[in-house]
Amino acid sequence: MYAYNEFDQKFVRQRVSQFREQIEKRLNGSLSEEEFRTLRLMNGLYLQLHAYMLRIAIPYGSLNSDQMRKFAYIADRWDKGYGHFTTRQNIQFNWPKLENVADILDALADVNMHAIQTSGNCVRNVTADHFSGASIDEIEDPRPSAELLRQWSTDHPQFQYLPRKFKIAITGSPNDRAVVKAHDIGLRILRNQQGEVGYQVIIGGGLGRSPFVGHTIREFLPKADLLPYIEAILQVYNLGGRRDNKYKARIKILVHETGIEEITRRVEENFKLQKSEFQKPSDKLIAAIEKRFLAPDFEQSTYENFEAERSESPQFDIFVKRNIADHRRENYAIVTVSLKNIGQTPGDATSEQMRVLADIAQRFSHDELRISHEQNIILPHVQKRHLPEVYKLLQAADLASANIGLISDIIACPGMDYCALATARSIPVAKDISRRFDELKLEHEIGDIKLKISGCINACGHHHLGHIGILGLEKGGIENYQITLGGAADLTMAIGKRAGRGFSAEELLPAIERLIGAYLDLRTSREEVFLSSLKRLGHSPFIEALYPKKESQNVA
Amino acid sequence: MSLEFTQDQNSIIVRDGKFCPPHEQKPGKTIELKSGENFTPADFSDTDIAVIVINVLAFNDGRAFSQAKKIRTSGFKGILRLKGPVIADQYPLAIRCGFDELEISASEAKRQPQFQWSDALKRTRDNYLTRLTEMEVNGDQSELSPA
Ligand code: SF4
Repeated sequence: MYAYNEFDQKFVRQRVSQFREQIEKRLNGSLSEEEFRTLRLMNGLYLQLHAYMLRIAIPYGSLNSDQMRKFAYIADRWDKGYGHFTTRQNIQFNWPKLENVADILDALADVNMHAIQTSGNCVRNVTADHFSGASIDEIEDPRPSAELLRQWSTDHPQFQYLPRKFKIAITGSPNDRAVVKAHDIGLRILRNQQGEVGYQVIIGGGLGRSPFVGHTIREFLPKADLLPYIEAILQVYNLGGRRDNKYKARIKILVHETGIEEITRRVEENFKLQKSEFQKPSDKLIAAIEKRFLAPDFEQSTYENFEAERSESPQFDIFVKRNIADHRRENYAIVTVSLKNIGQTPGDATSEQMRVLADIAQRFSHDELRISHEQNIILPHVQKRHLPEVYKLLQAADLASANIGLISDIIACPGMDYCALATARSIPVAKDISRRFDELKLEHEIGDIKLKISGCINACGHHHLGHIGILGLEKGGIENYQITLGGAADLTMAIGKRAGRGFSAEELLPAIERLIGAYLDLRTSREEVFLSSLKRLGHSPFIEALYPKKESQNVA
Repeated sequence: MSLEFTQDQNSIIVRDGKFCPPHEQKPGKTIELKSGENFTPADFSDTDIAVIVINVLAFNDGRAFSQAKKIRTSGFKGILRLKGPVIADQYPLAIRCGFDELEISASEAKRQPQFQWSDALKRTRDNYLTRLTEMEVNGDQSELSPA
């Protein structure tokens, strides 16, 4: 975990008092409603359908037990006893009162947390691989680089009023778990032929109404050049991005309309100037930050009891198969705790569950927790010998669903239940689907599949990246759900293709059932997962299943 | 209070000598740029230019901040002025990007009185970017200096 120093602490406190002043200035008329809106967004405060929403950053998805307990405290004291973890490693509280917000921010500052730049047209919370520092396939922990970017972007004088929001993600492993190609800037840590560590820099990816797979702008950027290069990209974007139409204001549109060659030329030229502005090489800064990441003190241990429990309890064995990933240490494991119980809102956790997770993390995971972009919670460093006990504790808190990667492990945005922009419901759709396949007892039979749901074209539920994507629209006042097929969120990132006309809310679930039924009929064996069948057979047999009769003829 | 609030026809010039002493005040031409207007560093090599004014139409048009920074990077040493709707919370950002002064309308000055601007300036002192870019650091950040 990154340890705040005096400066970080002072900075966060100062922001809280500045925000208190801004609220006062709004009340006494110094600030107009529009001006205040911009400032409150930069401090994470949204106005939603029914109330304010406060979005708090969990930098690169890492937190400790004290911080998790503070979320529980906030949920109980100022909200409705729960919080919602988002696809961008933030937590949202859906019911704070404006007059309490500054107090909430102060409570967060007590545990070195904040809501700075979690919204607004600025550089947002930098996200990272949720297995950072634990996974077996990692080249380098991306979090020190992410922390450097957090510091650089925080209150950056040029980039607080960008054309639009700006999202950066970083992964340190060849298996991309941070969806770097769907971000304004995606960074992949890699080694060049000389064995030096640097970054592949990807720009202009994004979802929303015009989804794009990011372009590589630099195959290898030396670590020393990170800040001047990112600064160059942002300056080119700030000056060149469109400000006449908010739907065309993201960097992906600038890249698309200007061409990646011209953007590359501008960035590289600008980069040459930036180098003299950044006198401290970024690799040295990262090394200094690394020293402030308190690494867990890993222990040696044996784990016969773990193997024994697996053979005794089939339930535990299934949990291990679905929810456990390999740790870089052979006697440790990475545990993914599902926030997708059957019939539950994806990503929601009650204050009680937060406390249980905090306690488990403190006792069994070197005091560390992670939030994944798939809206689950990770215990990154659990010794295998402790897994049976951890499993029991999770079970008691209703947190032991063994469904990671299955059809009920759905990403869904808040949709019509909370979001002012929504055109359809998404949470109830997710609940219906997970309930239905649970009733059918088919979930484990179906195996690995990614289903993602957005409640409007803004695509916060990443539906473009779902093997099956569902997009809720509205047609003549009635919800209408479009299905896309074949999206993928890993390094082979692909944007799903629309299958055909949309479905009404009632038609949707039977359509998904037909689709899954077709897959089960068509696959060669259980080893062939949904996406592989789709790749082998093409989309047409699946489209036929979605649109029995003649309808499928018109579909491209 | 070292912050000056000077009436200039219908506008107010906001200037604080303490925070922006390095730039030269000398007689010469004033040139105006639109927000986002393209320029090349050569445009400012004319030594007669004393003041560059960047005009913005909306407070949330952030291009002027990058324009100012670019003009400074290219070596301009004269006075840089940001003209248009600005809120006091942006003043420190403007200073940090290289502006010397602001020109705001009388009505803006009325709803955001002088003390709000001088209060805002206190926030130019401590910021992450300076700590990350400049060699000479003191205090507990010395650990960030390259060895
Ligand atoms: S996708 Fe649309 S409905 Fe869902 S959270 Fe984003 S803006 Fe709201």
